[in-house]
Amino acid sequence: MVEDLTARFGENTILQGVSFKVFPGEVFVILGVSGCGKSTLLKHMIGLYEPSSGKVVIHGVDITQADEGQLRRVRMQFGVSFQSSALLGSMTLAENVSLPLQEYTDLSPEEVHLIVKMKLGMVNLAGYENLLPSELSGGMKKRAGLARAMALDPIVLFFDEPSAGLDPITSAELDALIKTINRGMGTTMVVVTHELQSIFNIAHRVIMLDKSAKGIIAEGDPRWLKENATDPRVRDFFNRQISKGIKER
Amino acid sequence: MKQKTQSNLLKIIIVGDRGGEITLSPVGRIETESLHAFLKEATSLVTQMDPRKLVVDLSKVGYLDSAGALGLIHLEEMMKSRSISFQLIHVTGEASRILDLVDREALAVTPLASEATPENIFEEIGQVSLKICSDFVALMTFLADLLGGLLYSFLHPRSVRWEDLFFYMRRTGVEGLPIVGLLSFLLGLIIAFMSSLQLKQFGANIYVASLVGVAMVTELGPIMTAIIVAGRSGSAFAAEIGTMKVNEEVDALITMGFDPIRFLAIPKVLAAVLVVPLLTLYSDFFGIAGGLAVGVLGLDLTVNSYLQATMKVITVAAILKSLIKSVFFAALIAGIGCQRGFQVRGGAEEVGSATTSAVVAGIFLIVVTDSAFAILYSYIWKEVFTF
Repeated sequence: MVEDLTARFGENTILQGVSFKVFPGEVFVILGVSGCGKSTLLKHMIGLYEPSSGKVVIHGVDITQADEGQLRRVRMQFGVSFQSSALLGSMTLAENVSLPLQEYTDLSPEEVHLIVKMKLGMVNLAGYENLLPSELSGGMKKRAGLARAMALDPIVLFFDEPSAGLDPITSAELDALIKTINRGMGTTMVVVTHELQSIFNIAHRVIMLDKSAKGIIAEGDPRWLKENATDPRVRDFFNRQISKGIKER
Repeated sequence: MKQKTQSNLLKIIIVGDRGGEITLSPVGRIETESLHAFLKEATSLVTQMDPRKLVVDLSKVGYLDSAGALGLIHLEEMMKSRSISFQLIHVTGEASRILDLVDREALAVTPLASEATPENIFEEIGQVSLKICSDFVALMTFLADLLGGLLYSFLHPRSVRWEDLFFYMRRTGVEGLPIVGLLSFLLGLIIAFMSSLQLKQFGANIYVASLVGVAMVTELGPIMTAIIVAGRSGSAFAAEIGTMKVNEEVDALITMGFDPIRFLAIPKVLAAVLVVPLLTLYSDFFGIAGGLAVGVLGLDLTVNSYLQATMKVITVAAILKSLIKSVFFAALIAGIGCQRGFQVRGGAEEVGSATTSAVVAGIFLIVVTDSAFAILYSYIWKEVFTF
């Protein structure tokens, strides 16, 4: 749950009084045109940025006020898949995925190895555990990043632009993976994206952010919004239309 | 029937007799945190009771995550390998969906070998040898490109990015003044102090001035400055260009029709070549000042006599030699820094190793070049120049 969140960088206000709830088990998409503050909002939700005011409550804990111990416990309950996959380049995939398991659990090395194999299998990377991230393609890195994010079976998974830089097939595979994990494990998914196809494919509910409004301009089912939204900015986004600015000449 | 408590999260109720059918009823949560306890108990149970059939009743499991599902599958595989029949009962829809998520085939896949990890020592030796050879070829190719770029810049001064040149002159030169001054002063101080301990015994205090002057101007000034510049600027050049390679900025320059060596390396190398000789003079000055401090405060010499003794031994030729040397040092440090940066292919880790390599190779080449100059000056200089 995000309550009355305001995000500022110096004098520049990015988001003003943003409030919304994410329900357990849903795929919740934060969308909007580039520069509207989607990634900034996500980084506030995962506790990387501190808001100027407002609350971010995950499982009853306000992470903006939480002490280190509380934050550590909350962080065990969520996983983040970063835009650039953010795998540690000096470590193999197995070492990357086993990092949170070694840090947060008392599992034996054999058990950790078994879980790593399972997680990599879940993201269709079975057998790749000894490879370095530099030996993988972009899509494989994204999936490996997801395997690491899922290492501790989090309650919530955050995705920052999962389809960015991927071809349509790899992107569709990743969407399918998100849906499978959501259905199979009931994991709540919070996805930041502007890929329309992805949004219609995976989202149960969306919020749309806007740069000039500095906040949410639409909320609901994307299919319903596409057909019924009255705000021209929302309509343009869902129908890939240009109403102002650059026109085709 | 017996009951065992494994952890706060999980209890296991066991029903059955040794050698017969045993039912194992986990109560609570089978998840990442309780996986170790679950597997440990189940394994010891099988060893102790040697069952004919193992039934796992999931009716009392409140929560099952993928690690828990993996535990159950692992248990099943273990039973199969011991020819014990295995059955899961009261599997809820949710549990069955999670069990389905675990790809059993993936668990048995043989891992691919990374190309980055060599198989054995011979392969490793071979790879290292090849790397040294290709490094040498790359360095020579780069130096040739750099010389070509420098020549082009002399012929076409308008092509030089003067703003960048002044920026790097400030970075390498002006910003390096405090540390070069301080270290050289301390170095002069140490040499003067250590030599005075010996020379004092013979009443030869005044020779401390000559010793410090000659040592600083001919060797220590240029070397000290070069080492500091290698640590400060050579590493910074490697890291900057390396990061640009990672971010595809260098590729962008190439596609826009720029020569990355002329665009990125030439301003850095030219800046270093221009400022390092000046830094060397500055270092000589501070080194002598350090010696002077010891001479005046510790050896009862006057400022005038100390400086006169210094002037006697420092010739224009010596200063010129040290400046020529420092120009070569500067070109090597900046060249190696840029070359190591351009070699980066992967991610953050490679930027780190390129930076380290730039400093290590830079310092190594400084020492090698210095030795070469020592020989050159002793045998050839006198023949050619007479000051």
